[in-house]
Amino acid sequence: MTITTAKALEQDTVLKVDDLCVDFKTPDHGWTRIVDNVAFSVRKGETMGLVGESGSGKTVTSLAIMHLLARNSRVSGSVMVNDRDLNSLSEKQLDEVRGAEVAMIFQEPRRSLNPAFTVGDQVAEAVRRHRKCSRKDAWARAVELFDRVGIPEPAKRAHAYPHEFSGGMCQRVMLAMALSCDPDVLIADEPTTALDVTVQRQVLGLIHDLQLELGLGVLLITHDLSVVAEVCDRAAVMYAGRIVEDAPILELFDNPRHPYTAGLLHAMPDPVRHAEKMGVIPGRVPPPHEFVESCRFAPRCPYAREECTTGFIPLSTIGTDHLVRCVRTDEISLEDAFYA
Amino acid sequence: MPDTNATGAHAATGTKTGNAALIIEGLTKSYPAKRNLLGRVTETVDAVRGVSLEVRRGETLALVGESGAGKSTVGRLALRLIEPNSGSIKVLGDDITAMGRSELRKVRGRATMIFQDPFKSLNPRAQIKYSIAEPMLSQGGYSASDRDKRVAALLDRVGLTAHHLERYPYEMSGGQLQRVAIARALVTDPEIVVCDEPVAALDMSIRSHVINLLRELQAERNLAYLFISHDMSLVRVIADRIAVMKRGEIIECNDAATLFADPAHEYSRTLLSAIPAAHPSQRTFRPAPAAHIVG
Amino acid sequence: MTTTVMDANSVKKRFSYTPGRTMKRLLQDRVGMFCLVGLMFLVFIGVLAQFWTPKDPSAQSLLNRLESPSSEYWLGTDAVGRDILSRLMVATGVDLAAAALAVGIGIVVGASLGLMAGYLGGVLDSVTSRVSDVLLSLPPLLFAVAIVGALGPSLTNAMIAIGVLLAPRFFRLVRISTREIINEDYVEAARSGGAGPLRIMARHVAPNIVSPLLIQISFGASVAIVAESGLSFLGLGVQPPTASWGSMIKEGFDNLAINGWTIIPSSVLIVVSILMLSLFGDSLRDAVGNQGGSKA
Repeated sequence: MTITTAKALEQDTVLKVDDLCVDFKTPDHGWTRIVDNVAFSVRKGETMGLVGESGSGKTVTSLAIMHLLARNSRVSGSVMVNDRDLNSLSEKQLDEVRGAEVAMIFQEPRRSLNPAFTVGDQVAEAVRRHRKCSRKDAWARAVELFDRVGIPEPAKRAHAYPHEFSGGMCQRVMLAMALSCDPDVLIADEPTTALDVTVQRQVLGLIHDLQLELGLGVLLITHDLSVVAEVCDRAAVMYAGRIVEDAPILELFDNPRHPYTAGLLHAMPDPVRHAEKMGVIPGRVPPPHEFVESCRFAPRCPYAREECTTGFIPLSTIGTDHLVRCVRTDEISLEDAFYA
Repeated sequence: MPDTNATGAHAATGTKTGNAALIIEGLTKSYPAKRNLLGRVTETVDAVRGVSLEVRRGETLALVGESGAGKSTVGRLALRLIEPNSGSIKVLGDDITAMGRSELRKVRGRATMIFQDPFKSLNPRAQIKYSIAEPMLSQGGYSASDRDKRVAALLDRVGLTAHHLERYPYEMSGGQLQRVAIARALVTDPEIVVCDEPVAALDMSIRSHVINLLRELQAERNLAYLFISHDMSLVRVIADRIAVMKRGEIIECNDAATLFADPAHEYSRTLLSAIPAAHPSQRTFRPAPAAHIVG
Repeated sequence: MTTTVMDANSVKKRFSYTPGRTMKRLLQDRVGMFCLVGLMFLVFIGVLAQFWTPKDPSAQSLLNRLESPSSEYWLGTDAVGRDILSRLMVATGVDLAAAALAVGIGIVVGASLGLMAGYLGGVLDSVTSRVSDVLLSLPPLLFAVAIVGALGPSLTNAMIAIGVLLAPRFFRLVRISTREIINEDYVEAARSGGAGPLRIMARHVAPNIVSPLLIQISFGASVAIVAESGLSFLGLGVQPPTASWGSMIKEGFDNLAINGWTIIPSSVLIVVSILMLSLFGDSLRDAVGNQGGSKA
């Protein structure tokens, strides 16, 4: 585990995750490692995508960063926000960091809002949590934020209850809440998955605008590669608890070096290539208690050889900025991967 | 020739040959929204207002729109899983709108449905072999060996094996279960299948497998698919014709290529422009990233 | 500000709370298993008492009235010199059988009506629901007393009364579960395959209400035991010379001044059996987990 000091962080890195491991205690299998050795960083003004399907560990990773996991979990590694390692902070100190320096919005905005309070109250409460100010000022700030996130008639709507809002509007309220104390990092966990495509576009556009305006670093967690293509500057692909590829966005799409990434890309509906058949990745994601030390994708990978199943495979750097966890990456061409 | 009448657009004649397998005309469905003190209904919500469309054998008609548009309701009305308030439904030439229960049961074998979430559409306490065989048991007329043969054949066709027969849903993955649902939908040799968001609940890498399977089966059996989906990029790849729904009405219906190239209605344009890019270079509201400079 | 908290169980919901694992979880729950064994032991005692007891439970010995435990009478004697241990064994059988009868009546009446009300809805549903609501709003013991008063004091009538008491609870549970289940996708899928009401009720509704029903049964049984004791204490249940826990408590109570011991054995047994039933019900509920239509 690396000892990180303030100087070790690059000037504009707002979030740096290093060697993050998460274990869960499950009734059937005892302590199981769900997330293994995850490391990435997010810079100011940059949108980093964390891509993966269910079982990849991406949501657990985001919750581990925010320290929102329940008691039957163990987190190790470092999570540097600005100059502090969140993993070394006390619960009280974490309360101060959460919301003020790093904020999070979730997949189902309605479930994240308390149905018994007006949206204005909830955002104002978030403001007062981190700033000493009067109720009146907090309310005013809430209205100001509603305006900024594009809620029409903000002063009036602030008195409404969550059930009176549509999904897209609720997500805007969540954004308002998340941004209420000018965080440096915004973590968005599948923020648009539950929304219609037109609303999705609006919310993604909003996040983008706010990022430009406030210089946020955004960690966007999603399973949808097209969302990644639309808004991310960089993306890391997770599979079975590990990062398998991490590259700038164009590089990832044009030159994927890990078979799983190629498989995901080729499984996307593409009118040009898919007149007849879409790419298919056979098999399924292994459950955590079946994770192996060597390549976890090997059972499903048409390029797997013996070297893939013996021993731990680290992330290696290719090119300037491109990380891949694959021993055969230099030998294989992924052009036609997974087209049966 | 596209008919883009804003109110109750009729489906254009398909380009594929073959008879219309499913014809619905002027279907409406409304639900009570408010009742007065005596229990009388004072206000209603019109979920479906005057929808008409046609699906031919061998073709896929995609029914698209945002949530709340009424697509799933239309799908269920087409099979009379819920009763329409007015309008008519013709399945393979037979008008099923007013059919009695026993007659309707016979039709059930010819028009079937695949549901969105396979974990919910399969009884968690029933073995896979029962779930697949159930339509045959409900409709009657299949001998035990007949049933076993069909179940085995379909299981094999969808890529599963005999040892899945005695399994329960919780022992299987989403992709496998959706294939079980497909097997169930085909076990009575239907000519029409209503697919209600069949891949929306599945992981990305599993979707392509299921879609490929559906397409193969369509080609093999000349099936008519009423494909309900909100995923426009998927629809673009698999639909022959597309009907766009908004607030209970079909506002545009056309063949897929034409619709994507030149949508006639403004709502369709909005819908299409909201599809996220498939590649970073096609981004719309963010600047496309500069090509990576090597060296 | 509310945040959604993930834990191992929600992340792995597809792997954890599932039908097959229920038995395994149940067997691993030591407290629950202990209670189950305890309850089975009580049943065994009750059955055994039909064939053998240390002494004749109705043999009176007026010389040895209201004695504390001794080597001859292990749990002492009651007001007319009968061996408490023997009577207790018989009473165990009586009480457990009575509870079973009461619960049985409750289920047969409540569950079948609940199934129909839930499935068919309409007028049947409205009427039965209102009746059930009325029954639930009556104070239980008074209600039982009233029924027994009308039918005449006897153990059977007491059990009928308690069965009627329990029926609305089963009715409500089954009705709600039925309604939830018939709205599930798999029932709709069955209907789209042509399944009729009978097939749906037998194949889809019934198997999926078994778990919540079992839990309700174990709690219903404890209610029945308490109710029986109450009725017998009031003299409205078991009639002398038959022994039941409730009647033994009454005898002990009447003679408290002479020997405070005699009230204890039956009281302890009631408390223990209810505790075991409740704990077992809890462990059943934990083992079943998120079944029964919850959207976890």
